[in-house]
Amino acid sequence: MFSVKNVNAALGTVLSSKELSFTDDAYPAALLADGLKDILERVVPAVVDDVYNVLLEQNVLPTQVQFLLKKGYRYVVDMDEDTRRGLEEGRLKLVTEHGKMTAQIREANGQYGPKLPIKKEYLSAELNPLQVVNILQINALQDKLQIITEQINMIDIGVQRILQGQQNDRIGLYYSGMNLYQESKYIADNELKNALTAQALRALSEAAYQLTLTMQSDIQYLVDKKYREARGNSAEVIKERMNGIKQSFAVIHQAFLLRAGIYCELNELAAMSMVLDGYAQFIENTIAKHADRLVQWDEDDDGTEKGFWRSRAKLKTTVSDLTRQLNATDKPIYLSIV
Amino acid sequence: MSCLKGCINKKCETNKNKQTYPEKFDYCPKCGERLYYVCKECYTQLPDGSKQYCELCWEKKQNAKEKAVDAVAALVDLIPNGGAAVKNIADTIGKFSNRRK
Ligand SMILES: [Zn+2]
Ligand SMILES: [Zn+2]
Repeated sequence: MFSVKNVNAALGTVLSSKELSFTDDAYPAALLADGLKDILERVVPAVVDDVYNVLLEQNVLPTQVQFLLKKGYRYVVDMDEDTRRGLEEGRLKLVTEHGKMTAQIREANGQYGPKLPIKKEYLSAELNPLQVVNILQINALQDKLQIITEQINMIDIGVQRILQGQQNDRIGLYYSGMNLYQESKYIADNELKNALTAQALRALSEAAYQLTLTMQSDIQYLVDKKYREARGNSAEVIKERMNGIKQSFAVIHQAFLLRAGIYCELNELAAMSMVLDGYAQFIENTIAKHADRLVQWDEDDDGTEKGFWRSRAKLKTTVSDLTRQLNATDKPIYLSIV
Repeated sequence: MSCLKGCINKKCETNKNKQTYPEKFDYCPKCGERLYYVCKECYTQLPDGSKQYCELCWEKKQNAKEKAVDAVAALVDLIPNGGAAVKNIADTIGKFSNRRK
């Protein structure tokens, strides 16, 4: 199981954005990592608290169950992948029958699935079954956050290498958004600050959009073998295009991450996960689709799963689930103890 | 000509030496890892066994041939009247370079 410690360790590999200047190549990833850390430390416990309060209000904590907790056990549900998914979607019910506790998942049709045994583990601290369920849910969230963070960090390393390598003539679009964001930091007036931040977000979105088009047309040029027209020099033409493709990719990466990081900072988690979703889609449509060829045009890639392009093509985030869970605070997550 | 396989295990000696194996080999004789199709020239792992070279190495080879053909063609222009035989050679190389192995 994942713990907060694990996630912090994964996040710990990235410097805090506060230690970096806005113009640092590592800034977008650091800002996003700070935001994700914040979700773990502040937002996730808040979600859990809300669930707990809803249940207290509804008076669904039977005394019998409460009594059991006092003994200092910890309950762990044995579950397979499907069950786990059900749990992540917040459709879990705890049942006590003949003094034994089981967990049940509500299926899509509203019916409850088979009863699952709950294992009992001793704990030093006291935990109630509700907390157990919450722990499982937090684990599911942490699990996702960790995967997302690890994947992004991994991509970020390669991107920074590209950015450090040489002059990037495509980075201007990104800088215009980043500068607006930087300016917004120095403005005291809230209205003006918000307006500038909105402009920054728009500029970053525009940067990612424009460069995605550029990158796609560069890839299409290579797919169509247009370089054949450069008789005797086609290999050089491929290298130049590939260089452009990498430069575009690096800037697109920065623009997506900074945008996600800003949303995170503003506590707009739904928007943040939408941006991450957008990034995952970009990877899927633009990189994964052409990975077989990108590795052959790129002189620096060895074509293996660990190479630059194939490893990047693997980014698949489960961010949409994350979005739903983080937004469930106003509508109570379905959880009950019977 | 058939395609070649290679060991992509970075720790394996045959990987470091860019040693290739015939298609019928499935596992590396040195380290036992699975073998994959690789570019005959640069050892980049290839998606399947349909080509001997990666796209970039293939183009490099094409470019070398094209440059040779162009050099011969330039010679033809230099030799008054006597260029026919040389031009023949140039055409032959040209045909050859357009054919994919
Ligand atoms: Zn080997
Ligand atoms: Zn090659």
